[in-house]
Amino acid sequence: MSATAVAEQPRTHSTTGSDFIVETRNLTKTYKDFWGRKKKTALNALDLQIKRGEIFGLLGPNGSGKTTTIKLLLGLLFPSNGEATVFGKPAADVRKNERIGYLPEESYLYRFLNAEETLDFYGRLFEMSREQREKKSAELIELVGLKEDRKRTLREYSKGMRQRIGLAQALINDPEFVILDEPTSGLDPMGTIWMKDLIRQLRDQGKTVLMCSHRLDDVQDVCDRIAILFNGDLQELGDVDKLVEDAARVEVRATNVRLTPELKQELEAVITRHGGALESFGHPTTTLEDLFKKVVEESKARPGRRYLPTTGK
Amino acid sequence: MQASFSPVFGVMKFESEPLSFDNWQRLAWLGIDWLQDAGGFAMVGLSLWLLTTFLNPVYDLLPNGKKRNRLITPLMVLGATVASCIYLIALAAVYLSADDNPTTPRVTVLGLAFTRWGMVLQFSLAAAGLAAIVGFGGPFLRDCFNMRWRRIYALAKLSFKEAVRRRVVWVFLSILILYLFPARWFFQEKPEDEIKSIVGVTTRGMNVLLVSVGMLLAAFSIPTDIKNLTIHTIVTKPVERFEIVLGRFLGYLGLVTAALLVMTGLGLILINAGNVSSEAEDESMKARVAKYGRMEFGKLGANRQLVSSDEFKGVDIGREDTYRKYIAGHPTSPHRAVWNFPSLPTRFEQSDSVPLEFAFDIYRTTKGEEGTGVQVTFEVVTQSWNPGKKIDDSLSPGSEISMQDAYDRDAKGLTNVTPGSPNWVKVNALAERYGRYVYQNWQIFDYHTSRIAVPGGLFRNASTLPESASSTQGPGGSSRRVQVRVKCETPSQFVGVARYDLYFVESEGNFSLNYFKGAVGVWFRLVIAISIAITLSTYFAGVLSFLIAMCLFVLGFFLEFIREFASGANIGGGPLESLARLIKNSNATADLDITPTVRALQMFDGVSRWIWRRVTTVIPDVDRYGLTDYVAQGFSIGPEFLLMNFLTLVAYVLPWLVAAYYLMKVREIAA
Repeated sequence: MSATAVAEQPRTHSTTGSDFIVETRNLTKTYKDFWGRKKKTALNALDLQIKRGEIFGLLGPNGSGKTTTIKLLLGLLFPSNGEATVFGKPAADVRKNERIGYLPEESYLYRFLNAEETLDFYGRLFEMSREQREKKSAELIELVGLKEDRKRTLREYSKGMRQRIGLAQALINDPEFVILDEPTSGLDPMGTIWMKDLIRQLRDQGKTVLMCSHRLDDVQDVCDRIAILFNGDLQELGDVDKLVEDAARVEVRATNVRLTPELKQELEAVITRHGGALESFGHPTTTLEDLFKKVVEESKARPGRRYLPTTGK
Repeated sequence: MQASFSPVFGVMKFESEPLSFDNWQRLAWLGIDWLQDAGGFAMVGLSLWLLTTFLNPVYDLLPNGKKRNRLITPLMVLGATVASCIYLIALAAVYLSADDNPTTPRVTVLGLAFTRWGMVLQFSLAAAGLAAIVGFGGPFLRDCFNMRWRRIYALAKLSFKEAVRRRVVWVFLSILILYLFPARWFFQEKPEDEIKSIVGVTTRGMNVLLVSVGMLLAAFSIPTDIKNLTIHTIVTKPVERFEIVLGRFLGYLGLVTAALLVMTGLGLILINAGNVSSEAEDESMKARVAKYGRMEFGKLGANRQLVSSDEFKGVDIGREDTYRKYIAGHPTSPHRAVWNFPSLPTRFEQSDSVPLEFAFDIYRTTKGEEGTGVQVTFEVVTQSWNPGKKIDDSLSPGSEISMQDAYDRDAKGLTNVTPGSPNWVKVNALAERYGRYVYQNWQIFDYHTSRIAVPGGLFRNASTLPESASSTQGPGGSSRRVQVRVKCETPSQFVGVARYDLYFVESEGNFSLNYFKGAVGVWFRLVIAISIAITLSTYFAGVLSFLIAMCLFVLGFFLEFIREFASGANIGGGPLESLARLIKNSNATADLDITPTVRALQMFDGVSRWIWRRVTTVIPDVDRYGLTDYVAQGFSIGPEFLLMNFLTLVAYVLPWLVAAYYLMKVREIAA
């Protein structure tokens, strides 16, 4: 079943749900005051399914209900109405957490511990043996690039480093389902690229990823499907490519062709003949991310390379 | 609730009867009291839980498509239903027992007499409590089996490491201040009290430091985790929420236990290196295993026989504290303070002498002589001593002589002989023959512990009597094998006595070991402090948790007064009545004129008493764990005593931990 098909299928629910990692039905969260009076509906009747092996993105402005959804799935909050199941188990069941990895928005870790101690602590919570903990810690520290800094306490880490060790703790149990809340927060561009590559790798390993982010380009780059929330309501749900597709326009790309007025005229004529109009004609631009990546890679390949101002005539 | 016995949550004073496995009836009633108290709280908790979770359900979808509220279990509903039904029976018993009067027939159950409906009330309250505990504690117990020690250990280790890395342990070093300022600089007491002062100061220092630090750490741990959101990375792992509570609890307890061990060791060094006086060493640097008797008062009748204590129960000299009663002093005074020892260790019979120790209060009606104490005579007798009984005269065979006369004749020149002197052998033989030993005119000073030696022959005499003879009644009705009679010889002076003022020294243990046993009492207090603070922190913010926990803990030291006030037994009435007395400058014991205002004040006091009676079961009985008092006085702390205190500790802490379990379970971590 394709991602698109999932988006389009009727919303039926199954508690056994072998295909779906996450299912929510009418999931609602209302915050109340001390006297039980309604203060705010953070999430309103969310129906959602996340399929095994996909990268699912939750999008929305601040206060739209993204983090509330994640907290409800993790059992940090209890629903006011409706249900949420993860691996077919109620979200409040802690046993489901054995198969989940969670990276919070800020890396909320104990700053008096160093990287090794942090991973050892979380490994113990999964009842891993000493050998397993040591092996897994070494692997993950290597993976997140903190080998040199593994003995430093987390209070000495930069935000990006804390985010990396946060990701390592989320992967300590080799989870089937990874929840990432703003995973690229605090990371530099190279860190962001690394994180996105890692998320894709997780999918390639068969894991399911749920991420929420404000950085739409990141979401677009890695997510298979997305849900857009606004003010607690689900506004849009579907395949990323489908959702961002602009059906009113057509893009043609070609290589080994020179931009000449003749080419433009000929293309215009063809488009006009088919009832359309040429909007733009020229070289496409690359993304800033690609440019940055290219510069950094070249710098690594050619130590001593530096920018030299061009001497204009 | 039994008025006769304080509930398990209650205070056991140092002077009051220690809990013991010997008195199983009393223990059974303590258990019943606990079921009533804890069961009452469980019923309240269960009702609140059922109500809250019914209004805010969390549903599981069943395979058949139906929904089930996962927060309510069938056991809870069953427990609440059964308990409610039995509470209705208890309510009926309250109504039906309202007509009971002193003439209503009574039945004795486990040593206490009840009317029929009174008994139904007691046992129905206990049974309802048990049902509520099963209903409320069932899920707790079930989830306890789901807990994993590896996770709890990880959380405990984290807590320990956190406290160490945040340099909390440096606070403990402030105990060293006590070393810089020896206690004797500040307490100008008798030389013999020096160790008492040192033990008192060091243990109080340890108590304040460890309890406050332990409580602070516990009160702020979970709220800080929630505030810093670090708890998000824990509860999203397969961690039962109660494991977090237990991990934090054990981690901080481990930290303060380690600090307690070090401080106790340092305290011992301070005592040993402190050049304490020899008097203090004699007084306190021991771990006496005392053999206590039953005390009563007797009056010497015309035939030199002690008469029943029903006629004489000691002189009340008008002190507010009624713990001690007094005997009047005079060479011809008939007043006797009597201690009966129904059983004694067999090793006494094999000993040459057995120490008898005592420390009495003195009430002087005349100034007396400076530096001179009050004289007291001790008479130790066995059941075979009968002064009027005619026996064969050993000096003139065939003739009879009274036992008293024979003893007086044989004991001539053997007064106040001490062990080691040549005549001690004769004293021993005399005691073995007649079953009597007398030490005359021993000078006593206020609360100064002294000892005399009682010849082992006396105990050999006692052992020759058949069990039936030795278990006969003493003057006050209690059985005895050996009896010690104390008489005050100094005219115009009174000697104040209580049960624990006199005892045989069974053996002497190691003081250092006893000092560590005394620290177990501090540890018990730490368990209480941390468990209260951590439970409160599952619901309240850190500051509030700390303040409430500290208030409850401090109130524990005044629990006896609070109980008196709550039961209406205190002098001067409740808060408003006392205030009225203060304003009107009225005597605390005089009856107030019953005016509408006074009636209103008393009504308010009645309401506050009702509230306080509920609160007293929540206040920790911290005073009972002051085991270092025993150490300071040089008394050994027995393992049975420690075990009893441990059981009462568990009985108190367990309901708090169950409360923590539910508070944590129902809490929305991210809200």
